[in-house]
Amino acid sequence: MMMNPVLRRETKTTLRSWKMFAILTVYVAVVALGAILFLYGTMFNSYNYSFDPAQMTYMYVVLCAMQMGLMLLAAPAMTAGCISGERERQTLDLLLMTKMSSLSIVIGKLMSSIATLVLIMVATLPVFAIAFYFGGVTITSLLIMMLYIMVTTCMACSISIFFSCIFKKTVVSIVVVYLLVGGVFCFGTLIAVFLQQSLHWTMYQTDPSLTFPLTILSANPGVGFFSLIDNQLGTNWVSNLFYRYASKNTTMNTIIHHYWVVNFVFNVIVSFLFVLLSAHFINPVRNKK
Amino acid sequence: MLEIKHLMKKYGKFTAVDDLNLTIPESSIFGFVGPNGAGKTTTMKIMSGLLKATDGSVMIDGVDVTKNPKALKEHIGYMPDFFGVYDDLKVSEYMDFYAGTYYIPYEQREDLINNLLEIVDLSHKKDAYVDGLSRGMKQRLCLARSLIHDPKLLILDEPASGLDPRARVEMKEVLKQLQTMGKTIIISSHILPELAEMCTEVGIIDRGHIVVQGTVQEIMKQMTKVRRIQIRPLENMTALMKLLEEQPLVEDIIENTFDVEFSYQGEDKELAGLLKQIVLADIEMVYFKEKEGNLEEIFMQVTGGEQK
Repeated sequence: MMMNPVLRRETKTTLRSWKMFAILTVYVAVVALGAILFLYGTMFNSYNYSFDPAQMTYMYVVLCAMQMGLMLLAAPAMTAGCISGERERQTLDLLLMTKMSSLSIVIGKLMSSIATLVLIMVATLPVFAIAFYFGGVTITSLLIMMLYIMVTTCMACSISIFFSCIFKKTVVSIVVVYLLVGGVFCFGTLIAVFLQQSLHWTMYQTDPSLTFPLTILSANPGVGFFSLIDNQLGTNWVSNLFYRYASKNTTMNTIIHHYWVVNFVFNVIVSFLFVLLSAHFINPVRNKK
Repeated sequence: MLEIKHLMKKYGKFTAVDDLNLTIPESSIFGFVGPNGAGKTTTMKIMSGLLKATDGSVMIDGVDVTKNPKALKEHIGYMPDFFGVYDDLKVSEYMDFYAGTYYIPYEQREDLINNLLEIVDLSHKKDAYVDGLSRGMKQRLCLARSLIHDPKLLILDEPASGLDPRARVEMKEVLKQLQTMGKTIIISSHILPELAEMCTEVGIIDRGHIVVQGTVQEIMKQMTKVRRIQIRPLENMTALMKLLEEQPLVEDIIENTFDVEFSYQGEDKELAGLLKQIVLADIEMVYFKEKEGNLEEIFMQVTGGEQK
């Protein structure tokens, strides 16, 4: 089977560049620094400087949160220039002239970004091993968490590629992706739910419907992340968000307790959708009305 | 080989290509000439499947490529006027990448790349980074890239632009070699004389449609109303001038330092008669020739003298 040529070329040139190793080093250093600061903070704040291994589960949370945050920051920066960069370099037309379909080109670009991000993620695993050393988290939990982070990152990458197709300048694409993923998906959804709940309570003095928050928060990677943490560590961060509805309805409770799956599915659908849209937009002979 | 019928491309109210009709025979080098903004690049992009035509058809070997773009990709090799290269790749890797984009099996690639680099005389640069190539070399590399899938038709948009005279000559040699290999080549330029010596046929485009099409000689004949003849006598200029002044078909005689130039209204037979008379008058000549039409003037005349 022939490897996607775009993926092959991108991988070759990325790994040949010293920048990749610089990014890798800085990334691992930042995650390691986070782990060191957590350990230092835990020991410094504890009574007579003792060490509590139970705290290590929180280290896992901190490291995963850092991983998720850094991945969502890195994904647009690494992907938002992949089509606009080809356009700026005047190589896009040559690529579109080949036998590769627009979809193959977009998939090649997406896969190369994901491959780089997976490499970075794998490079941080030794830092995660510190949390493992003291127990509390299983390898399956870690793998599911990595998969969740990867799918969320994939969603950010596919949105980045889409904007890279739309906008001529890479900087504009990066800013728009940060605004959409950070501003709309992360904070916008929370603000919308807060406003809806407050307004409903003020106007009707009754519990508002759960349909709106459950639907809109499916786009929030933060809620999905903490839902998964709840699921893995037995905490109730996301359940508390929906505390008014918990225990009233068994089906609702199941959805709330596995809300990360809803978010996971949302990310997969959005990824596919934006990949297809990107392929449509770079096709030079697409039907324009 | 290529037949374009009633091709039209509009950008809003602006018509870039207007009812363009063109037929290009197989194994020919067709020169597509026109001033900047005449519609050359737009037409070439439509032919290459990079732009959608508003109306009309582009047939390659009887297949309408506007309706079947996939078929087009196999038949066409395109080299745009402005193009970029992947500077971080070596020449062989660059070619290998494009071989991959045409799904050429790995085991066939090395020989293919070696052959193509030999054609464009870049074999010695195989392991060099693309970044280090000169502009002329990059042009030739891009030409080799456009040949990677062995297309029947090559569309080259101003391939000689920005090249020094030596690189232009090298490019012309490569194109002639490709013609002998049976490729049909469409080559654009805004300079008619640049194409005249290598093209089998030329089409002049202006404001979106073909104004005149044919061989350079045909176009010149069509556009040049009066023949200009030049004669250089070895000596005896006075006798020659006297003889010419007696001729009824000779007009507008200009005596230069070494030769004499005049307009001739007659056909080839009468002109041969004039030559015979000069020889019989015992006037020795260094040359007796028809002055070639000025291609630049013809180009300006055909395109309305406007450089948009």
